Amino acid sequence: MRMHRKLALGAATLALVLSACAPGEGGSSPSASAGATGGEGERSIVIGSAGFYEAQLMAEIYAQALEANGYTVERKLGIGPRDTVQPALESGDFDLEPEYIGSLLTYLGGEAAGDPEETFTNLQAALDEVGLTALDYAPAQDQNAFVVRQETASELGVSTMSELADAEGASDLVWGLPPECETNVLCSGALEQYGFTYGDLNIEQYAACDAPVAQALNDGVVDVAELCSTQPDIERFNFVVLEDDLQTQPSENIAPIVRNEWLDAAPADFAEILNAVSAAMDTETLTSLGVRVAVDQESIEDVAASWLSDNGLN
Amino acid sequence: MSPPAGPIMGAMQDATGAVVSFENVTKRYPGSDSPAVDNLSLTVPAGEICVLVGPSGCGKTTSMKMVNRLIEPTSGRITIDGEDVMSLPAVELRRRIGYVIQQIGLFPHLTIGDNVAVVPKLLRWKDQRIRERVEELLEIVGLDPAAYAKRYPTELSGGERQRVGVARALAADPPVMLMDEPFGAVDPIRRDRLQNEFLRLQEKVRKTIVFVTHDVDEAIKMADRIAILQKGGILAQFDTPAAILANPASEFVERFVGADRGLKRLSLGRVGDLEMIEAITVRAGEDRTAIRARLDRVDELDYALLVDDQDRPLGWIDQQDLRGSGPINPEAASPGAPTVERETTLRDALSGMLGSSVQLGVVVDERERVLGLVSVDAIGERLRAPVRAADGGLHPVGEAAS
Amino acid sequence: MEFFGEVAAWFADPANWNGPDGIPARIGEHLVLSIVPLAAAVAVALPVGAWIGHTGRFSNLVINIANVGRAIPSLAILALAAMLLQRTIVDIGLRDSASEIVTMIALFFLAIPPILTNAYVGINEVDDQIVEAGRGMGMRDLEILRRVEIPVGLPVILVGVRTAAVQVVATATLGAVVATGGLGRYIIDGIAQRRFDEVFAGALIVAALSIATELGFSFIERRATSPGLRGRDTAPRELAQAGRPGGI
Ligand SMILES: Nc1ncnc2c1ncn2[C@@H]1O[C@H](COP(=O)(O)OP(=O)(O)OP(=O)(O)O)[C@@H](O)[C@H]1O
Ligand SMILES: [Mg+2]
Repeated sequence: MRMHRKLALGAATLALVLSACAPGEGGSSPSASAGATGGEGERSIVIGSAGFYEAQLMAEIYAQALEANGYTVERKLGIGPRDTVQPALESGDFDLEPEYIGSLLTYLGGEAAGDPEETFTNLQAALDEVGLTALDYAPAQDQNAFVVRQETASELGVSTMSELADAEGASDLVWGLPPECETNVLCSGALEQYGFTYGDLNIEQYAACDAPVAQALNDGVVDVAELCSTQPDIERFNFVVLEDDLQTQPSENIAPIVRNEWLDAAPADFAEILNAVSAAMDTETLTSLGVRVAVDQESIEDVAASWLSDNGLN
Repeated sequence: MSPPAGPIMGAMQDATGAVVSFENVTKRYPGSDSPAVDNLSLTVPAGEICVLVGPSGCGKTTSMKMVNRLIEPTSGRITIDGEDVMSLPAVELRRRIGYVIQQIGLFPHLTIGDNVAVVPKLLRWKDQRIRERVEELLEIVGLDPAAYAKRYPTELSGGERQRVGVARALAADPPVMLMDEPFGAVDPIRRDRLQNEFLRLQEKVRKTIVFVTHDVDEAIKMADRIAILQKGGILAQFDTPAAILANPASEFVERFVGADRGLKRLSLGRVGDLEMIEAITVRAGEDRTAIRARLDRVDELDYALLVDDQDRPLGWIDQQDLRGSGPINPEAASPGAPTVERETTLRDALSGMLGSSVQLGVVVDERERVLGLVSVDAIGERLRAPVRAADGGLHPVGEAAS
Repeated sequence: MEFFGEVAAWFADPANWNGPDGIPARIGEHLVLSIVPLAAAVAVALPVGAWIGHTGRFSNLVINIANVGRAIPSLAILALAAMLLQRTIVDIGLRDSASEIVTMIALFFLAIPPILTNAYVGINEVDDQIVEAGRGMGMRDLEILRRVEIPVGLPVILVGVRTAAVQVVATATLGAVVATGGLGRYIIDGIAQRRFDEVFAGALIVAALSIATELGFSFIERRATSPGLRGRDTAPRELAQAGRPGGI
């Protein structure tokens, strides 16, 4: 029986690998769509999202929160990767989508910072150019993070990257890092900032945010792995995400992005409803919801509904 | 199991076979109510061919395979020279019994030489001895070792494979041979020649042979003794061919042997038993006048026999073609002279001769060289002579005829 | 066109021929990664398949293993191997080679079905008459197997080994996903770093190695098969090859 569950879990994780994680590209194909209805105080909105499950889950949560307040919502979830979704939003195919602030800023040509506030400010400036607005961002971030096993964290007594760099025995650690780490400032550059010498690290090459590296970390093949902060494996294997205390990674908090055209005519409670949702969503919460969707195979609708009601948001 | 003392000719004088005896042998296959072989008792004297014959499913193969324990009897016992076959390890027993199956079962991945060498190798003979034995055996069965030893079974004709099968079974000079429809897969003409060849061979080696066939004519031709089995593995009659033809023991035997018993009795006689007429053989290019002169010296003969430079028959030259003078025209020879061997039964010889325009059979030796002629009249004469039941057995012609 | 120029340039670059991630080193790793599991699979599946073909017992087992084995994607076999065995491998102190061992175990299981099936089919299909001739001549069970069934079934048996070998060489590429060396590194690392000349070059080398494997084993087959068996029906090779595209 136990074996059985383990297998099922593994298969699910495997499937997940292909689409999960990283505030990056999702899977499914772009879909054409009719123009969204502009709402002159009308409680009717079209919500879109990228293809991967985390974006769909957030979009569904926005949708149900609004529906609970009397809005009529049309869903265009799972449209495709960012370079499909973003132009569609700008052109008015839909009115609202969840996005990661750092990645979106980078996409729009800006430079994402480690500080969320700074990133958000710069993002809003960039969005002004294309007629969009970011509502309040959630504490929840899905960013690349360095992760250790619980036992490593307690043995070395570390909870932040700086502590890890100073810890005795840190040089014995085996790192599971992606092949592109060496040339990526957000990876090797970040590690150098903490005082590691990239060339001296004992590295096994695994793709970041992927099932194999999570498995390898759990099994002890590696001791530190680069994962995504909301990756279900973190909860499944009870890993510890080391705090990026020097803010080397661009902030990737999730925020609703809405068309100004719609926002200008929106009912008064609109931003309030979504801001309340964002306020309640932190990284651990988002990770748990991700486990329910991607590992336990619960439907996105059910997961969204139960979280909203647990938080009194519907 | 003693290997042959020397070349096979050394083994010619006596039977090297052993007495094979079935004593109340019954075989009941699991899950079957009726036995496949029922209380079979018979004794095959050393050096004789015992043919098991009967309709399909009557238990011939089962009986035969109990001798080398490919099948083990349910009750009763089988002895070879008095020794119970069950008292020996099966593997050892089998290495002392030659075995030829219907499809010959040559090993396709081994050369002819290696096929023949299988049992000697199992018996761990020395290489040198195996090599010599293989050559000897291939020669015995009429295959030139130089030409055949290195070839593979697929490169041989059905008849050649058959001979290899026999050579392989003889390799360790076993006293007993088991043969299950060994000539079943070859065409009738080749079959007759293979049978003759085998009879000549048996004349030299004198093995005790248990031979299975469902063909009565083959049984009559090959057997010293025939065991006729009927459905359920019951022995219907066990006797010499002549005795069975003269006195069928039951209605079953009578029906099985067939209505043409009288004609079949012809099968008891051999071409070698007949008086041969001298053949006037001629070769291409010989002078007609000279041939006419030779032909005139023989009363009963109107034809000369054209032969090739190996003395093998090509066709008849009749008086017409011999008119005038000058060399004969080989084109004029009418082909289709029926050839027979000394071991051919009179029945087969007769049917061949009746089918040809010139009612003469050309007797040839194992290399197809002309020995002489036999006439339909001679067979008729022999038919008119009283048949002596006891005299029907196998009389291979052997050296006496030459 | 330009792209092929880049690929050619990649091959021409001496840097790609030297050091621990140079082509010779990667090919060496790839071969080790392939040969070990293939040899192990041959050592296990050949005798088992041959024995089952000889006795006829448990033949359903062979058929089921073959079918199930073919139905599971290579990547899933690798993931399962990692999930079920990696921890144990680390625990018994083989941490430094854990990736390689996991990959080899996956490749081992990948190689089993074709070898097992063809060993079984090859032996089982040997004409009963020939086997009976052997038995009737006094061969023991093992002698029948060794002197008759194996040599006669050899062409079919070797086709299974060849199929497995080509699959293993092509699929060893996947090991790079779990951090092994080998030629898969060019492909996986190339994709991660968007160096597509390297990806393509890596794929070319893997393809060349697979073809070389195919040719090498065909040569062995020809040498090992008795001339008496040439031109025989080796149809079962299709049986072993069907259903799996081979490779990733
Ligand atoms: N292995 C076996 N298991 C069960 N029954 C068998 C087995 N072999 C033969 N029999 C049965 O025993 C009987 C005798 O078979 P056997 O093979 O001895 O016949 P046969 O006289 O050689 O026939 P044929 O001329 O067709 O070769 C048949 O009814 C056959 O079906
Ligand atoms: Mg039979």
